[in-house]
Amino acid sequence: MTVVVMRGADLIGRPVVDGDTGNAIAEIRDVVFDASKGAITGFTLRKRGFLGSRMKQVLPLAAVVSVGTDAVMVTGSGSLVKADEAPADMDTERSANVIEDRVITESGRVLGIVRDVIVLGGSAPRIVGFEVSGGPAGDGIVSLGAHTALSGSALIVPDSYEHRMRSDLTGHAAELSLPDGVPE
Amino acid sequence: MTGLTATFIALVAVVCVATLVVTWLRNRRRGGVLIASHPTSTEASTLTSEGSKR
Repeated sequence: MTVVVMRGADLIGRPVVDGDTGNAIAEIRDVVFDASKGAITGFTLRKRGFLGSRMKQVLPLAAVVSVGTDAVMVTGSGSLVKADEAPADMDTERSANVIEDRVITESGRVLGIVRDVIVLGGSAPRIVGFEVSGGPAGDGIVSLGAHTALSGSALIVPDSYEHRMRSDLTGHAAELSLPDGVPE
Repeated sequence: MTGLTATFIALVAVVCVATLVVTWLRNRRRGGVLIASHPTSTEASTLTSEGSKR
């Protein structure tokens, strides 16, 4: 199965397609992930269309076949579960959004804002880094695991990271041990 | 049609349009990337020790 690298923003709004019927049954609204490992634990959903409202059902990772470049594939409309019946690792709050987090060094210097996340797709999708811009260190990427703390308001990185931010995805991929099948 | 009826219809129309606009604005909110409150393991979301090694 092909593994792809994409931005989190590309994932949001992507259709959820039932592989059994070919029907698009929802769109991705939020990505929920485990900050300690980067593993995506599931997705909140919205209905498709112009006025598509938030769905009461969510999509746990266990029901995902693959996160691809153009769709999130599942098998059967029963893949969606009610939010209150979702696995505990999907519990989250709106204030836990990492987009627009300030990136701050341990000594208190702001390096920029988290503009997006870098997602490794496939059957075990995970977040592998944070795209940072708007600060004195220039645009760059902070690898997941290189940070010391993460919340819905700030991403804390070591002081040395100011000089380590990579300016492109190729450099970031080289820093990671990506599985086979990932284009570099 | 009396002036009162016309005013009432206009008012209802305004309320309907306002409801549609509010619904659209609420739904158009971009999605986010949210931290799970309960990590998949016993590890907390703080990576102090791991981050310090780098």
